[in-house]
Amino acid sequence: MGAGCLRKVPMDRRKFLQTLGLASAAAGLSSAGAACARSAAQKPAGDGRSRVALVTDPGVRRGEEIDAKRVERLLRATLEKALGSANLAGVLPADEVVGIKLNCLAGRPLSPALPLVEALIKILSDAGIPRERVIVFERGERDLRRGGFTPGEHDGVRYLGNDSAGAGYEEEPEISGQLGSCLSRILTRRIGAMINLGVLKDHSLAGLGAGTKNLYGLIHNPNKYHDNGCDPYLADLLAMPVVQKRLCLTILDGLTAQCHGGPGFSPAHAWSYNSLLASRDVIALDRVAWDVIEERRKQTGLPPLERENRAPRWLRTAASRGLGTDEMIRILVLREVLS
Amino acid sequence: MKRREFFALGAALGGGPWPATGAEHPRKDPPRGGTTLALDGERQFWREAAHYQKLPESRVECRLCPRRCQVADQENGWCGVRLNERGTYYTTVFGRPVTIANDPIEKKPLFHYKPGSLTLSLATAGCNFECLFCQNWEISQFRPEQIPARYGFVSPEDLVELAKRQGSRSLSFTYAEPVVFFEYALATARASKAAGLPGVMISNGFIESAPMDELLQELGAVKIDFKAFDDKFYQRQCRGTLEPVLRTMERIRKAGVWLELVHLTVPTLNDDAEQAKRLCGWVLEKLGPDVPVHFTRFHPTYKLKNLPATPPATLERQYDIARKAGLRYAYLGNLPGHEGENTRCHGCRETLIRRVGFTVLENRLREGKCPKCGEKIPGVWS
Repeated sequence: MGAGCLRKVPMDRRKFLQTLGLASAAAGLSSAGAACARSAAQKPAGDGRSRVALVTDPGVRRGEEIDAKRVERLLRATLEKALGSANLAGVLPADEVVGIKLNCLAGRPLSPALPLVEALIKILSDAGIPRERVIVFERGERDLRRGGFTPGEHDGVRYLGNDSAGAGYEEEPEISGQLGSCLSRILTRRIGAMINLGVLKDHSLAGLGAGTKNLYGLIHNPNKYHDNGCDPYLADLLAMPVVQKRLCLTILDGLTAQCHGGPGFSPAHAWSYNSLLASRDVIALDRVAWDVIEERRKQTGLPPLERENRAPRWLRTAASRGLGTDEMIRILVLREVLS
Repeated sequence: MKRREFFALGAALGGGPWPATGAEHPRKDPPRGGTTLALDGERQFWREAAHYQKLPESRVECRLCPRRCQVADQENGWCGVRLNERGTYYTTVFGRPVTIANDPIEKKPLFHYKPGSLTLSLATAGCNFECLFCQNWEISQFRPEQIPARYGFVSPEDLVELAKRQGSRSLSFTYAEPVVFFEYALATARASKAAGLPGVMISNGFIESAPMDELLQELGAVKIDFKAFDDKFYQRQCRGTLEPVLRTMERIRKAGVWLELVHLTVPTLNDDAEQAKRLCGWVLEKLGPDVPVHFTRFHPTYKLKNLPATPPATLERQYDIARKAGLRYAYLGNLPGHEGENTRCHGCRETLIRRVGFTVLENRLREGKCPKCGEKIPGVWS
């Protein structure tokens, strides 16, 4: 059969561009990605409160290793609590490429666990999002490697850093409040929806290096925005339209958590928390994470973050702008311990 | 890049891939992402940093610039090029220039330092300021791993060798901010001084005294961007502060190293006459009348695109203010062909050096003196 006889497969413009990984490039920074708008910030429970799931499985480890089956079960239970269903089709826009933003800065001991990432990809697959439509990404390939991930394509899933071939940053800075940064092209052009997969840990300047702080990996110049405990810069970043549009869900890996000495790994302050947290409201999620960190600090004789002048004030700033909920009275924390 | 390839590349520096004239910036199209080195490749550029203090819990305090960043394990300093790894602080740009060019010294600009000569000019990524009008933000506001290491490792000795082959008469640390690549600049300045090629620093002057004193022992000239005589301007437009810059300029003068100043005049932000009077008054009092001050034209760029280019009349007004204040050598910049580019004798006003842009058309100085009245003209002329 000659080339001229090839059957044409109907393909609309969006699908065609997705094939090229350029959907957003054509649509502009703020228009691609259909369904996540505002959902990242505010998806209240029926009573108006933001839902945050905090689910623990004391048996999630087999020796030192994370048990793949148990962590998948734990993740499904966490999503069920946070979303009302473990089916991610309900929170992700159809037909979009889904990005999973990791936080591997601290190296393998305090990065999202490999079995957890694989479980999330499997759950996405169950929701009708094939592995070929998943991009796992980080600030740079170096960070991916530190977390135990190998850049490149593996079983259909692409693992990219912002410095990977074809990635990079937008040519011009995007201004939001006091923040002005070139955004990751993975965010703006390669994906239509984002799951923010951070780590439950302390941060020496921001107070908390969990959900919102992980978004610093989306910009080229986070080193310029750590002054004043990252306030208001984290709120400025979260307020960016493209971030609001893409961010559908935040999950925190609390299998190993750390209450002091972050963002790097500090064995003396890390503990096996064996828990996952999830919410569509990243500010509410970080508010709950802060409580968990403070509780652990108290147990281990450390002063509250406020006494070290690094309470995460940016939570209030973000909440005051309507980017999420930081008052515990307006947050529904759904806890469960799996047996 | 192999050593042989690196030196072969030098053949193109005069007018090849880098512009020999034009604004003070390297290539405008540094690729972002795509071909950066793997983890182990980047490590070849790491050296333990100078001027830092170890703190408990693997933290460090950087003592290189007045920002004094306290940096946790695995984090960068504000500049983006210094990294704490397990309590040891590293510069990550030693031997990692992102641009090299053989420029006229007038491009820096230095008008009283070896006029008409070429200076091998280089920069690494990073800066300890974030000026909203930065012409070179594509390298100054990125971290090293975000800009491909197109030359591989380039030792200080390699740079000296390249400068010699290119006929350069000095070696300039420029484009971004040499303060943040202090260790590389210092080692290169030492090597080039030993080879008879003075080092030249083009800087914001935002540096602690101890490292600046080390550099001054090796340098032949310094140009400081004196952005405004207004601390609020430094805070709001540059995310820095004024006082350390003033201190640096005084130290340079006391050290006897040749100094010139540039004031980029930005419409509505630092162009008022009263501020120009205060600035010129401070220069006269603290640095003396012989320090050249260049008032240069702003063009919209980076995060300051909502303002127009500086009207020539504004610059001419500043020129007049400087002259009336008693400064002997005021210049106008980014106005090619303007009379304000020329050097005139402070004694008899005879035109001594005629320039257009970065090109010297005529140099009438005789052993550093005015040929008409015999007045000694301050500068380094040979």
